Amino acid sequence: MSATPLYIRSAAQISLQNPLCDDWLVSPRVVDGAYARAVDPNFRDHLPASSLRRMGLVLKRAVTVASRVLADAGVDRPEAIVVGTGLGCVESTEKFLDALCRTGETLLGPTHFMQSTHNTIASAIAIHTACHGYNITFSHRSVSFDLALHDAALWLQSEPATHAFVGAFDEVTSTYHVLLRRMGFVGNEGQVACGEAAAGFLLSKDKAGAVCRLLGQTVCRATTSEAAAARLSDFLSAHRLTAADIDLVVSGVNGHIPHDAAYHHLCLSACPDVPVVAYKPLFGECYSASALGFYVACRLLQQDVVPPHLFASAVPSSPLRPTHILYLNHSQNSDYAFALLQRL
Amino acid sequence: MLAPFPGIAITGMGIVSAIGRGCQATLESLLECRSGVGAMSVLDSVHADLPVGEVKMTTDALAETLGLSPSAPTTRSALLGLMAIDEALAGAGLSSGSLAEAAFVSATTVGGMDRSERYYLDFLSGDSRNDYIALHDVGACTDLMASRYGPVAYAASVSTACSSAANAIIHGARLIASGERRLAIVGGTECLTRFHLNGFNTLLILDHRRSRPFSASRAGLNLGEGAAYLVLEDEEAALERGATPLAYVTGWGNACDAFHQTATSAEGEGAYLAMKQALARAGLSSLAISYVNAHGTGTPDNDRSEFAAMQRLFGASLPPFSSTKPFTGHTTSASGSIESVICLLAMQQGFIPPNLSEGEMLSPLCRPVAALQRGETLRHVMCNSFGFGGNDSAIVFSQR
Repeated sequence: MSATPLYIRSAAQISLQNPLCDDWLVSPRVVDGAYARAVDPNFRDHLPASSLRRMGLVLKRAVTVASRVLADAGVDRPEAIVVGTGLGCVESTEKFLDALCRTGETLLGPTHFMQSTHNTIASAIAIHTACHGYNITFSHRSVSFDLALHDAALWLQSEPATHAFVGAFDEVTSTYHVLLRRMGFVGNEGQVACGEAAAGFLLSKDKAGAVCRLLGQTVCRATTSEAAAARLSDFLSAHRLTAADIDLVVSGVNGHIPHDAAYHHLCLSACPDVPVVAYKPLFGECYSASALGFYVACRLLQQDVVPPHLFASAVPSSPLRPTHILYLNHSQNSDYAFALLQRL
Repeated sequence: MLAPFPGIAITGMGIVSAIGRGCQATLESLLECRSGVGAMSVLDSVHADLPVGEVKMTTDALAETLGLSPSAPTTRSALLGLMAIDEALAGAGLSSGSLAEAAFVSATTVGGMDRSERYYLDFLSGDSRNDYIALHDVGACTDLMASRYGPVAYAASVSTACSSAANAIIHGARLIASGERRLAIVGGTECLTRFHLNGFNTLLILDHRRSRPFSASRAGLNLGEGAAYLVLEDEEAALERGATPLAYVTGWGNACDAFHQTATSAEGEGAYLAMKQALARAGLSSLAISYVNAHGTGTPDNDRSEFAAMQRLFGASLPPFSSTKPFTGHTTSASGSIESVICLLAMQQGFIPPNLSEGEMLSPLCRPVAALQRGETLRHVMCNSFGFGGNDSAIVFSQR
């Protein structure tokens, strides 16, 4: 079955870096400390007053990112909204849970409960864009975004539709940061800061004005690093590419050695001499961080430049102008996601 | 036109809910019109006057039944899920360790909230109960369940509130239709928690009596708990290994009402589009549907807009329909797969489960199936599942 080519038509982010722009390419913000909240835009510039009052933070970010993605692509309304989120609407959930645990079951109000389900995010985007199309939310730790992208691509391949909005959104409250530390997900020696992520893309069959092409993408589970390497090798062969075709790897390394080992193993087995860039030192770690990695890969292809501060490997002696980027992500050394992006 | 896709066979199913553990017990309850909604005895809540559809086993007893140590950290949703998956795999003739190329797609929204709501203050003060922090999220529930069955090739968690399990089935069907996977274990699980019981209670949509879907006097829903999973298989692959298809997933639709986070549009736009797409995907006219298992929660909003959507789609030839939530309670994220299994049992055994609501209905044209109907031939049935956020889905199951 020959697949229809898919493109990334537009992309936007709110993160630890300056929002809704690409300042990070030239003058990245340096993140101090173990935990930082995202740098939010002035939501008043992006959302109607009614939304400002009603929406929790993660919803404001999601709707703002989606609006920017659609505006940049010149599309009024997506035909599908496919979202990933590791933890959903944490702030609302915590408020309801905290009140339940502290004041009991008799003094609760509905507002925070109403915004506590994970799909509130995709729903808010649908309401904002009046989109009655396909709408789904995946929530699976650090591959939440990747599952959403995967599903959106499968959806586009099977439907007579042109484009789908794909995004991933995670807010990390100070309380949840402590819990993530205690789980050992963040806060390990040498690890990047715990951050927040909101990133969105218009995945499209239409090439006009596209940022780059998505050659292929997959999500899989592998219990050993050898099995993961075999899956990656199968993935590359399925797209008739070899290590020689890969110009750059965008890796989710975060400085925590047991976590990073999986990436090193994948690179060693699939493309040992290919330069590697790491986005998490700039963007931090959270369950939706991989969406920012995907964002970085898209922009590097579009901007035709790889700034030296991104390299995790030795900075190449001559400027790198990548044609093919291999994006690697994993969750808990168990769920892996690979994507191949191509410059237009 | 839509791309052609291979037959998606259902080769196993498992269920646990307030009306029984396993398909056989569930079938008996349905045929005897025995509701599982009643007094709260497992969940510890001050709102004990609210009727619920509980699985009448403590969480420790669930663990023990599954052969797990009660001291091992687990969550009630995961244990309910395992019970249903064990049955589904056994029915499909699949053993643990034979799923290396399978997808596992599981849905929940509360995840580990049963533990979190108990230990949250411990989480914050930070000395004990750390194990449960890592079991709180939706993905953790899937991972915990998957770990029982050896390696799988793909694991995904879906969370779209009350339509979660339907969307897990749809995602699994898409994986098979695309040719990417030949085997997928799909479904959802949700235990009762004080968190969502209180949440629904603050929205004033819990009935203090047994829910009466589509009735003029309906006053809300009853919450329930449970899990159900299906084994979906590429038809050819199923036949190759000698499995017997129970039925097929032939259509599915997912649309968004895009109206309000928790309310539904009066005309049921999302519901209408989801049902319409499901028919189109199955290549069926609305006349081909012999039964609709409605979402039918019993809330004033849902039933009015769902009925409006059904009228719009089916016109004068509205097929027999009922909500089985008065049997099980509204099992929220699991309802899509629990009601799918009920549809499949109905197809296998040739009956239509009644709506269990008496008296005047919401309109003279609204006539849900009042009494159990036996001796029916159900070739194509539709199962509706709608959620907060206007996440509306419909699935069509067919027999050859």
